[in-house]
Amino acid sequence: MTPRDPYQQWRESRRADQPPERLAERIMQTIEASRVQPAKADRRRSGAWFAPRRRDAVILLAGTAFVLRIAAAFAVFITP
Amino acid sequence: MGDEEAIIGRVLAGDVQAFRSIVDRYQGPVFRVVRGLLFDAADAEDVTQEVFLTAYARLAEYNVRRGPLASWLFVIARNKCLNVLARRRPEPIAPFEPIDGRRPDEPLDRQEWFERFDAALAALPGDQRIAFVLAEIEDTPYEEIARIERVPLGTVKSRVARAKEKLRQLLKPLETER
Repeated sequence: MTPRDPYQQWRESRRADQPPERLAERIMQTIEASRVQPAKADRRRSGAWFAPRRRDAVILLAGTAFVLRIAAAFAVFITP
Repeated sequence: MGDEEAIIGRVLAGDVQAFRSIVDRYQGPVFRVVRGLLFDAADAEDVTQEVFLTAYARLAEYNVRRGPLASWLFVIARNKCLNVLARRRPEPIAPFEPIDGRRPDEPLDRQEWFERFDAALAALPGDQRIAFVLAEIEDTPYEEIARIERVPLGTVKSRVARAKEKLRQLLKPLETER
């Protein structure tokens, strides 16, 4: 990179950048005040039956549509 | 790496204070990357804080086999920076106008150089700036940047190369000023 010296100085100064003092403390205080709990990554692994993922939603939707279609087909015979 | 897994385990088990060592370890790199992308210390502070809040809330989603914790934090930081940049009104960038009161033959001082490098970096397209900041400021390996950006390795290499080339072109007028 030309000119070399100013670039190297700029790079070194950016690398030496430090976050403001007490930032870590503020982060921890905010976390504690929010009372947020780390969410579970995969509910299926933790015992819940349904993981809210797009793929699961599509499968559920397609399954429901299929069941309703079958039910509708039988309803024709059952209806007096 | 192993001790990080243990710390994460403790946090997920409910030990909030264990998260402090993660914050202490990574607040510097995250802050530098965010600042390199936003160029505003106040925004960088807010976004760094948001990055760690999000990381804490979604810590269970982090998978150690998919890469180092730093890269996962950089992904969160990158996404938050892009949101901030999208909300900002674009400002015209005029990095190389002569500074008032300075003679054309007078050399630039250190601070002026730095401001012009920052302005040149800010003028880069977002994807090149992200790749450049991660590679040049944080020394992140190209493979990790590819994972963070979800692009092939070759794309990262060309983004960094193009960023360097553009910076060189943007800073060319300064050589004549020297």
